[in-house]
Amino acid sequence: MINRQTTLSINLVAFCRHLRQHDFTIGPSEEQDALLAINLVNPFESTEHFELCLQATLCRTPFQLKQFPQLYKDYWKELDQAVDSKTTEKEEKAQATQQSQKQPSLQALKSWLYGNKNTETIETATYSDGGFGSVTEQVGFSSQEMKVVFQLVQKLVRKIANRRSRRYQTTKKKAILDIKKSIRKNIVRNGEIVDILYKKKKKDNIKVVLLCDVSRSMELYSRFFIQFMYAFHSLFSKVETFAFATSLHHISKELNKNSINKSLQEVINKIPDWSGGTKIGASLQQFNAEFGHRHLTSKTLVIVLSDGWDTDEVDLVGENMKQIHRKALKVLWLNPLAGSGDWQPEVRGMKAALPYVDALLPFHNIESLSTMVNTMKL
Amino acid sequence: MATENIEQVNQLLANQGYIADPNIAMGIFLAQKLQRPLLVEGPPGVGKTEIAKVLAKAHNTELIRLQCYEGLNAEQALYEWNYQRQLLALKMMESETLSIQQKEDFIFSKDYLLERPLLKAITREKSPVLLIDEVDRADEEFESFLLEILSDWQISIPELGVVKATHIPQVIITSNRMRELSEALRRRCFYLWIDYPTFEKEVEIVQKKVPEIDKKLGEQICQFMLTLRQRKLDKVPGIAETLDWARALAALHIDHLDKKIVEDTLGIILKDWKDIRETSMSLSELLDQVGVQSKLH
Repeated sequence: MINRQTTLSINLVAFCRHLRQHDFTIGPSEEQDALLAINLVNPFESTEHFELCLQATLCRTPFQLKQFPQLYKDYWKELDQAVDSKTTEKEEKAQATQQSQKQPSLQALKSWLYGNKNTETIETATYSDGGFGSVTEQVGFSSQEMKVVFQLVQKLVRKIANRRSRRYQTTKKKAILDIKKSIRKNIVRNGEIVDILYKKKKKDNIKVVLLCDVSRSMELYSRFFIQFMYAFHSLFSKVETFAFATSLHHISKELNKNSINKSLQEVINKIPDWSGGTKIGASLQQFNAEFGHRHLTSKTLVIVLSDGWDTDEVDLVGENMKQIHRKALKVLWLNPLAGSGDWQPEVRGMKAALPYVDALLPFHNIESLSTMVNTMKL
Repeated sequence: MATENIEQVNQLLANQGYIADPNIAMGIFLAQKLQRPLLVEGPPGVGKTEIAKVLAKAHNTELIRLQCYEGLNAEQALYEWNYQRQLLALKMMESETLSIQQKEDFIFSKDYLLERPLLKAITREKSPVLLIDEVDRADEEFESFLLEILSDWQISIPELGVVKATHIPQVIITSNRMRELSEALRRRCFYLWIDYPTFEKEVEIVQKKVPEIDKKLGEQICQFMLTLRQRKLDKVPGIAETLDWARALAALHIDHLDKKIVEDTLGIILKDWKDIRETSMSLSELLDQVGVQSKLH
């Protein structure tokens, strides 16, 4: 057995802690593996073997493999510097949050949140049923409309929850005859089939990931989207929601509140870049890197709510949408501009994402939500 | 042959014609020594499955393969009772005065058990190499079920009792990342990522696997593949495609690449019509990049 009191083993445990701070899932069993592995490769003989040995025992994903060399270098060679940079980064982030909370672009939502909850109209140069141009679009909801949103989302949730898997489960009700199980059950009767067992397809355990664009170009639809997301969280437990403008923010916790006002307040506080620029590609990349391994499976329905306007590298959108499409069950893109008869997916981000989208649907008001719910196939 | 250090693993793999990077040798060495499954991920055709085949050959042991697919369930992976034989046995026992318990004991014995790969792997006298191939194609339920086997190395058969592993097999799990594997499965395995090879490594592989090929042609093929992989393709060709192409060109007694040969044999390396069409259209430019322009005409 190895002596755990050596400086190397103490440093190794501290290194594991360092990795944990960077989202490596390392527990006592991984630490033990690393210590045992080091015992097998003489670490003092070859530094390359030492690094490879730690990499083999502590990394579990390609993303971690990519991060590992730098983290290794930081810890073993530039430890002090690594700590400093982390503190600075945190301070910068806190400052950015404070500044962005003062952005005037949030005022509309805040005023709605803190009192002016009437149905209102906003003059804007964007899309309406009538087409592009300076038009008037209804964006608020009365309590009656909120009720309709809940009913429609309920219908959508039922559709998702009732999707059938390829696997079978035994049932007593008349369905498909389960020959194997019927024989097994009747073996005590010398194989004479008396009790017949049936099987039916199990319900699939579908999860939903909502990726919502909250950049300036989507400001007009923010309320509708917030209410849609809030209704989704109220009615369905297996949903994770992320909002993005220039970066990605996980807002599931904020949406799981008792009142929509409280949710909205917390969501606004959580997103410093609300109504800011749009970096769809970078946000999707962040999603894939940080959350993809946890939330994207063959049973995940990904719903992107965005108009596809992107100011970033357009290649990033395609690459990351491809990755999402490959891993997820289906990808739906809900675009508030798509309801117009002459609308074409010509904007860069939308064009790049289109090959990796299973369905592109309009989504800007209750009617479009209703159409989406009725036409969506899983 | 037990391996005591990484150099020995390298040697063992090289003897079987597998050119391994240091991280591959390290992963295999630690997985063997600490008896942990090795999860190998990477793009298709880079030699993930080959690791298991090579290890089985190198250790002169059996390779047991479980090919995963959507809908794969425990019965297909573990064991199944041979119901047809059981029914026949019951019919033959009809005239005998045996109790139900006696009949059950008889038909639920090992003679009527159909061993599937996982049960096979833990009951062999000599520790085999168990290859769980393309685990990402199986459902998440199957993955959870796999966790139990990989941590306890025993299988519970209600009619027979618990079957414990005689030897812990060396497990290689491969995934093409069609979907993300669970954190729990990852944590039970050591992890290895195999990427497309460097030019030098690919040349070495081609020369080792296709010794009859002209040395210069081998280099041209590898350079072509390297350049091709940098393009946006739907199905990026792996080492397997390089080797297929090299073998095909060697069989045609070709000693250098030219446009016509590449055009005629593009279907060996590209498996998507859109990729073939787009590559054919820009073939001159591609060959120019590879450096075989002088031989175009």
